[in-house]
Amino acid sequence: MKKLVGNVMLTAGLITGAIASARNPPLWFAVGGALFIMGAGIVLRRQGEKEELHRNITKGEGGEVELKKVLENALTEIETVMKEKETDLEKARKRLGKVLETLETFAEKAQPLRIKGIKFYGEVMTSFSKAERHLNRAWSAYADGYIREGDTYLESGYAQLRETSKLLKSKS
Amino acid sequence: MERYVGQSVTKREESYREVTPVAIILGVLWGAFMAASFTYAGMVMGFTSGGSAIAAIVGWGILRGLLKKGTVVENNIVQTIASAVNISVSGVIFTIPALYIMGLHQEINTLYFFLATAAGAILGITFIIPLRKQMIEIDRLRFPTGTAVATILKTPGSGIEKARLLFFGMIISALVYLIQQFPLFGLPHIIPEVVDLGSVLHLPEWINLTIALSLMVFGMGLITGRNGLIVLAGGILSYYIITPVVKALGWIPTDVQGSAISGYVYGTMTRPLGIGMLLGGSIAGLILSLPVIAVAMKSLAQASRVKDKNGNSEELPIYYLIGGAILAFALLLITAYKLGGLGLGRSLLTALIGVAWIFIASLLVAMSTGMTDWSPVSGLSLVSVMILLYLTHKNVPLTILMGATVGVAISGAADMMQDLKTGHMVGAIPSRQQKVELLTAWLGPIIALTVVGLIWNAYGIGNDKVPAPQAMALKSMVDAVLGGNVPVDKFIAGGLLGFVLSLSGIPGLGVLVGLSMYLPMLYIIPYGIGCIVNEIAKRKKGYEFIVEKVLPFAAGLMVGEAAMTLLFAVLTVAGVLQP
Repeated sequence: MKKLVGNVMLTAGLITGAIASARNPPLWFAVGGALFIMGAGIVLRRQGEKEELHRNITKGEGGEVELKKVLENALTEIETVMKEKETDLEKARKRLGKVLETLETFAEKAQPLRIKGIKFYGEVMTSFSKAERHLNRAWSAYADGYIREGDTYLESGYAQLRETSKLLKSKS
Repeated sequence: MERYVGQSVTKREESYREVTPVAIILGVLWGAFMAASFTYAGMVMGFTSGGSAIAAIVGWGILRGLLKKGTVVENNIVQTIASAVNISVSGVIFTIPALYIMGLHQEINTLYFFLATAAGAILGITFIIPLRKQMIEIDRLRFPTGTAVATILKTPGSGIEKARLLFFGMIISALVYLIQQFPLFGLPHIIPEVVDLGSVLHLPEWINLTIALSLMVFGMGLITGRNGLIVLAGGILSYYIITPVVKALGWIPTDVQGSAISGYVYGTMTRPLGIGMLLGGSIAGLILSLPVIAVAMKSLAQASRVKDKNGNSEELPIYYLIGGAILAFALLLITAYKLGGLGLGRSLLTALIGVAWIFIASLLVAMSTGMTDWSPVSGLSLVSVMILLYLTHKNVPLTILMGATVGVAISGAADMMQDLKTGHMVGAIPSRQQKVELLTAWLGPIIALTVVGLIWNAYGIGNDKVPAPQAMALKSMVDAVLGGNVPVDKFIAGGLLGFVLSLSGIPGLGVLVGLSMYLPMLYIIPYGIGCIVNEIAKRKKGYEFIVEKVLPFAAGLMVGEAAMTLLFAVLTVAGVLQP
């Protein structure tokens, strides 16, 4: 509810402020009032977001619980890729492609981590993105028939993803 | 040597082809071709194109089709170089032709033109170095064009279905664009380029409901998704809330009537407000991101010490950024002091503010492009002109020359980020992309400047044959600034609104809303429709549907129309077409 009220105040303040600013010259008093309403709306919104995140975490949804699940599943799938590529590389490469698609959802779900602290969020995403880039390179190398290159970056991507998982667990 | 196709596997022992002589040569040649074509066509038609997607397709044709040995990351290098060489065209043709139009081109030595714009190309790339991690890895900005190009690069390994969707999209948008250009060939007008829905629905003249029928823009929205909905909402605010309200309140001069009302509100109210919001939003975003940038810089410093198995660093060392900043400062200082005849103190101030402005503008353009694919280069050029005219005591030639440096730098920054996004998605090593761009990007402005000079000698500039609309717009801006007609109050009001919006917790909100007020509604509507379709598809069919079906099709839509614009540019240069 707080988040909704905050969003309404932010929107109403923006519309009022934009109209007041459009006049030649701007209605500075109204612009000031609009900025105040927007500011109050932002405070409410941020509080509402924090409360929503804590509720979800209690329910076992969202937040770090879900992120850890995504990473664990990805790591398990990559282990399967590592075994599968010895017998059927094409199938293994397709499986790797699916892993990369699911890792996109990690990036979306990780957004609420910003609330826990922007620095922590930055560290997690830096580690995760490096893993993702290495896995992307593995996919490309396998697609081009460069097996050794693919193997190297599959292993480093896997190791980096484990690092990301450890980082997430270290802060919970 | 057999290629990897289907069940058969080729075990290659040599190192993974990435930065190869053939990739560099092909990228430079194709980039030069596009740069020359778009310089002329841009001065005639009024717009240019980045060309990454077309370069990727040409790369596949030559590397895999002819040479039988190209790789995904090698073709990424081709498109990186080609787009880097080509992109500086927009920075050049927006500024330098204005000097010719105003008869001031002989006041500056040609060598300084080349040096300043070439340095601008290098500056844009170096300034973006610390922002790569933040925007691509941490903020995960979409960069729709970069995403589309990655889809193209991965097509040979992605399976037949994705390739089919990509080509289907290309054919549809290419065909629609071709049919829209029929009048150029003396054929009947079957599909218009724009539709005035307002007239069709008998709305009042002052309500602007004209829509561009551009599948490329629709495709951009399809890839952008949710962020683009904010742009659509902002457009609705600007055109369908602010405009009727200011009209109802009597804030429009009485001599502005009918269909002129919408243009008046856009030109004097919402556009400058939008530019202010862009600036305020990006400054707020920069402040909020300082902890993240600190993490990125620390990671950058560490990563540049870590070598891969070949002994190369994945990240460009931080001293490139320092070197770039010093080069920018020195260049601007020399230009201001020697060419502008400014005193040492003012030259130092000009150089300092110039460097800071290039960084902020590069950040802003990269952020806008990353979130929506739209790049507010012309709006930032206006602000550049304002700042530089003030700093240089209204020295117009010097202002435009330095404005060209800024324009080339910020176009290059946005393009570099798109290329790095593509690189991230295909597993390219970032430092390699950055190094090849540094090696080759300076060629673009030199080609563009040479073509501008040739056009001037052959046809003149600013006439019916070569209207140079963007340069004419810059000339109008310069006249407005010299005449004291600058909406500083709107910039400040918009800046405050944009600043506060970006504190909301929705990343880049101030920039998105600012962008929406800055863009014409003509393009916001098809773009917004694409974003809505993406959201509906995601909710009904799931994220996998977006990745498997929507993205390749949308990439095709973007590429098809882009390829046709290049073809038409070439036909215009060849004199086959007379726009």
